[in-house]
Amino acid sequence: VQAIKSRKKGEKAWAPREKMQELMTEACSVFRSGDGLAKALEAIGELKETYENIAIDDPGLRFNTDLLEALELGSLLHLAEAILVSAKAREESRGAHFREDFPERDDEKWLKHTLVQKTEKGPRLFYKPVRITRFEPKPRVY
Amino acid sequence: MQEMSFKILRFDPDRDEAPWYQTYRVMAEPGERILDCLNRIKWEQDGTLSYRMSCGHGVCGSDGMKINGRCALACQKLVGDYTGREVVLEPLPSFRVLKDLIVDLDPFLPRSTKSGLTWSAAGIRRKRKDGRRRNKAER
Repeated sequence: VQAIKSRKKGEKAWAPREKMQELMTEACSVFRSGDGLAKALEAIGELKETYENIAIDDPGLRFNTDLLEALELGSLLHLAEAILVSAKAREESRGAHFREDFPERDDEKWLKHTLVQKTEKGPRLFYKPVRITRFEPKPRVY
Repeated sequence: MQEMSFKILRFDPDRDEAPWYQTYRVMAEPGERILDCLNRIKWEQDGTLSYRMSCGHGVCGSDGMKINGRCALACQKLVGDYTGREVVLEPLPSFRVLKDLIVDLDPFLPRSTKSGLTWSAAGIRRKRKDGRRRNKAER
């Protein structure tokens, strides 16, 4: 927080935020592909670098929505990265995750929950088994 | 696309002795909302300008303010309704100003909101235990 507040010159948060929003809508809506996700991941990496030099106008302590928006962008970039990494790894289609390059559901490999952990080397993926209770998962066909 | 002029009442009790007006100019489409203009001013011109917003489409009521003298939501008023006029934005009357267009809503919000329930249309319509609608004092 202090770093953002004390930085005198730098880009404001709104431009990288708009880029991130466009990127995620384009590459990471319901229909996605490995290629698109890889490119978006790269672009998010660049935005994270931009974020290191983000600056704000308002140095005040009172209702500082300028600072709030800048901090939010930091969290959103981490979240975007976690979503992209998870979606890229999941090489199947399931529910609102439709991979154009893997249109079929694959219970053999992918009937499991994705978990993401933040590490120094970037997001680490791991998985946990699905506990099937009352509703057995089955393909949605019309 | 037209140029809009906004005269906004500014006040930061930490820095200003008295409230003052600042005028901003911004390009906008007639179909855009006053809130879009505020966002554009805050993001592209002056990050110190402060106002509340949340849902952005007339449900939450966060961006209540005085627009050319009338209390309204900035997300419900369109640029096209103010063509050729300067738009004056001021905080809601009769509340204490915390900063710029943000007022202290504590005296207005019901106790249930302060204890963590959201101030929402659903909350207002929630029926009493005996089935009657709650009266104003109870909200």
